[in-house]
Amino acid sequence: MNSLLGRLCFKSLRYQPKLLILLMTSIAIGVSLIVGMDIAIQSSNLAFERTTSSLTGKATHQIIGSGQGVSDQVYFEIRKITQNIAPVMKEDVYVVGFGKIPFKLLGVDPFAEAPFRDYFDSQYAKESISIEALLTRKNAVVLSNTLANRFGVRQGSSLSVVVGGRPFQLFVASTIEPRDKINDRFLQDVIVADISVAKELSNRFDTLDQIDVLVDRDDQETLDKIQNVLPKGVQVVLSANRTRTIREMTKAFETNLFALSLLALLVGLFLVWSAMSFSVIRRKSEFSLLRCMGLTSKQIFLMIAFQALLVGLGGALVGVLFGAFMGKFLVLSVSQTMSDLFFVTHVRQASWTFATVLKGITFGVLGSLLAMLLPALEVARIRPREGLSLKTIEVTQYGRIISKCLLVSVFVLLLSAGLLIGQPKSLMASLVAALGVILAFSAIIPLAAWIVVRMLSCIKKLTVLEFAAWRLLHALPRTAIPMAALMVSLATVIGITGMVESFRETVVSWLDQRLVGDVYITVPNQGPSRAPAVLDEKVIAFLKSSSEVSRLEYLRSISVETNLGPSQLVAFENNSFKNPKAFLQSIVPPKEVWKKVLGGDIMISEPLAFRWGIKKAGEAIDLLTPKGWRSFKIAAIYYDYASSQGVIGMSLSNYQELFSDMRVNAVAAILKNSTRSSDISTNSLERLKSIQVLDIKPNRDIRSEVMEIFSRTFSITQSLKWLAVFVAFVGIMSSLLSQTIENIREYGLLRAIGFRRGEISLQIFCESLLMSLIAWVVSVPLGVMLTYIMVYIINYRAFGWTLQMHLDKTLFLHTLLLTILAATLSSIYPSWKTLQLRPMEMLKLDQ
Amino acid sequence: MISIDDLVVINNVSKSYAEGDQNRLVLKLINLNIKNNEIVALTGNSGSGKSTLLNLVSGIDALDEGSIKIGNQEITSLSETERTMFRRKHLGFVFQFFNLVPYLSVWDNVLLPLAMNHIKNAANLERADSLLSTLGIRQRKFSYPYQLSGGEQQRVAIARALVHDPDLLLADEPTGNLDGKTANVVMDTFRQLILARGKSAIVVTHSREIASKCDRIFSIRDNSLFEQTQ
Repeated sequence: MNSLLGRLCFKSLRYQPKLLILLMTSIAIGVSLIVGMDIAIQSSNLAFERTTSSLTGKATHQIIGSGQGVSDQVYFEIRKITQNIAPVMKEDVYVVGFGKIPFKLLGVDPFAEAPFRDYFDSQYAKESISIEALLTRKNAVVLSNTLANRFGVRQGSSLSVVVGGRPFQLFVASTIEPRDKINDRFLQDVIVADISVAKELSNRFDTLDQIDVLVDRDDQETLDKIQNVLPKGVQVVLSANRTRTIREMTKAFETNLFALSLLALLVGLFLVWSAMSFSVIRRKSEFSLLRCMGLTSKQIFLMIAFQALLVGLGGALVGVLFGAFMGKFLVLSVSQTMSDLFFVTHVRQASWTFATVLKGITFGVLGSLLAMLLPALEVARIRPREGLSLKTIEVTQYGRIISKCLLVSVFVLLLSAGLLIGQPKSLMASLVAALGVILAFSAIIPLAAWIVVRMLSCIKKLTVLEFAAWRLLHALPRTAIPMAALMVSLATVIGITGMVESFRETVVSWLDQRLVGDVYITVPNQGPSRAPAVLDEKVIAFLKSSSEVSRLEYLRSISVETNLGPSQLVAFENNSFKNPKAFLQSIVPPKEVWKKVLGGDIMISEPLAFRWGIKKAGEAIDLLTPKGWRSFKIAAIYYDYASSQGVIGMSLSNYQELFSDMRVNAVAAILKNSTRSSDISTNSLERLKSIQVLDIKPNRDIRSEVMEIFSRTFSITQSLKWLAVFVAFVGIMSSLLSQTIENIREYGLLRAIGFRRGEISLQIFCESLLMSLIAWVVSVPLGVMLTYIMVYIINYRAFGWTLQMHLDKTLFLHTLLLTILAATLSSIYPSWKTLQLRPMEMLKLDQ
Repeated sequence: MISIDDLVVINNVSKSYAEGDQNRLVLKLINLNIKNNEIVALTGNSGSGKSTLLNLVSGIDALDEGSIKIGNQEITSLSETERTMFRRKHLGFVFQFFNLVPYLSVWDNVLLPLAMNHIKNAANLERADSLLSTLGIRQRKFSYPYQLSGGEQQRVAIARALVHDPDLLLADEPTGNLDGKTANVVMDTFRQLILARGKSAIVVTHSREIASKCDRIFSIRDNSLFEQTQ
């Protein structure tokens, strides 16, 4: 392409600044969401990896126990085999005044640490860390300067914290300036203490959480020797494997967020397509002239493609900048959800990489090229002289458009159905199939438009509306696309709202079944990825002796190793499993499941069964207990929405016998009838809280807390839904505006023969209303279908949850009102624009 | 018998279009020879087939039967792309509605054919400049189409049609959108420039006055071509 033709590309874009802005904005919105979401996910993952790396260090292996940790004795035995080991204690620490997300207390042996974690490198430590203070002062800890500044403390200051529900004052023995940024990042969420301090704070004196081991990859002999001295219930695992397992938990969550941002990009691309189609029609004479002068179809196509590339690149760059900005806000929401559902993560800054930028630009440019493909092909097919007459009257062969679109629709629907059936487990396949359904419904817009127009033509005395309807039908190539964009947005509103409501209803009914206690007592702020802190024995004793309490039910939760990977084991008593609806499937009738569990079987939650590919009850899994590996039969698979990762359920009595552990993490108190109305007395509360910092919550507070987490989890989804509506609204408005410009002579003629301004406005409003109503009519069945796919297919494949579909009929009314509002708002500017011109000006404009 | 100085030879050309289930015959066995340095006018009622014949000569449309030769090139034997390349190099167009590219200046509009043919050298730029001078619009060189009057726009279109030195100019109602006085001025300049450069042209027009400025006048009636005496 030579310079003048290149200039032609640039200048034609500059010549239509509004169109250029619309094109770039459409792409930028989609790209910004992809980039913003990517930044939020990356930052959360980076924060997680940072914490994990700071805790794992350079350890190649870890020695871990079955829920109870590893005894000190094991450490001393292994020390005889290799010196390259280090004891580790990990505990969640809530720093007073620093929110509900805990920091990690890392208990280490300063003398064994050097080979494992850089910040304890001996020479470096000598310069920065006061080992003497760390070892001799009570509750002494080391902080990085960054963390110390954040807490507002210095060397020698004290720090108020809560560990396992008990308050402590930590002494800041040293603050260290990490020697590089990597170490600084590692230490941003970690408070380091001597192992003895960590043991004291966590109230576990004889055990270690893990022993870090540094062994050459080829040194199987040492590993074998270690293995030989390990008691039952303790094993050596590869450090990398444990981190990977946790990371894999978030995959489905990330895929869903990515799919949502792609949906926004899709709506944006509809607009690009619409705007480009309009631009092509306006520039028909120009392309026709160039064809006359000897430009080939291929060269015209390349010109458009080059413009698409420029627009895509420009839009993507703007989108990346917006995305970076948006990422700062999204990161808070995403990290909160990750902390709620998967693992505790502190994200203080949005991190973005070159890969994120590249991803945004690639999606923007490819999307733009894709959206411009059909208009470019249309342009390339323009015959020389085709558009050179005064006004090319578009006689649309709408019959052909409708039948072609219908064929495409049926084909894509069949393809989507095939994908869903052929890939019964794949989340990606279900997302692609959902996209296919959206495209298939978009393709039936022309048919819907034709049906509506036919119906209107049967009703007499609707002249203006009927006139608008026929104009709409004849301009289908231009009007169908913004209608499809609005339709997709409305269907997204119905689908997402339906999915969230179904989820809410299912969770509410599940809570009704499971929350049997009147008051729940736990240690505060239990996170999703760790075994929660235990209740003080005095708390239990007090509750047992309380005259207000009729009965107590206990719950113990620990992390266990299984033959299928690590999992959470929850031991409880039977009351919440009396309801037969609690089970998805069982080897015996539901009422007899508990007997089986008491007899030594276990239950697993539905998400765990899904994650581990356990298809039916009756299979067995192996658990690592203090008595060694034991095989357990699965008596039932039960519904559970507390964790997307799933849990193993066991009877408390069996657990206590197998694990020799009488501690509990939570107690449900069933109150005597007389005290129920007032929950639990203030005196009792004060007495309990003087023993341990506790969360004492009545049944209703637990419900509202669950619903709060629930709302937080879907906050991004809800925002994206409204963004899609906004994009589509802009689409309808731009389409109306382009149609108005296209038909300006016609309006001029109508004005010249006596149409009043109000009648012209009414005409424009009717077109807008019709476009929006057609979009709404198609959006309703698509919305219902999307709800179905999201509830029964995507959610199950992503999290393993079976939900009950719930669609409130008023939702359809709300979207109809939204449609009418969009129609009204989007017709204002085109009407105003038309009314600014006098009839004679309008008649001359097109010449 | 084809004379050696016949630039265009139209031989037994027929063309019909499909209209629903039926074919509508537009041109039937048309024969026409156009000499070098000759301007031919095509007249006829609306829908008689004047523009169709122009489209066939330019290779924009394919004929049903017969042949069209321009210079030594039998254009009916060329592929679509070859016809496009032939048009680019050997033909110039002037249209009723000027059809200037709205966002290019007068100068850039005129240079478009040179850019397409990759012949934007000093000599050709000088020719473009002198064309603008001859057409009296040199002072509007950096103006944009919307800043020009109808007559000025058509003169730009003529300069654009001639700048790459084509063998044949095809003008479809070149003065149809101009008032009588301006139309005469534009047509006189058009004729002058073509003859001075030894080129040929086919001018489609409804105007007797414009047709009378051409060397020969042909009229299309009932799908056939008739020569009219001036």
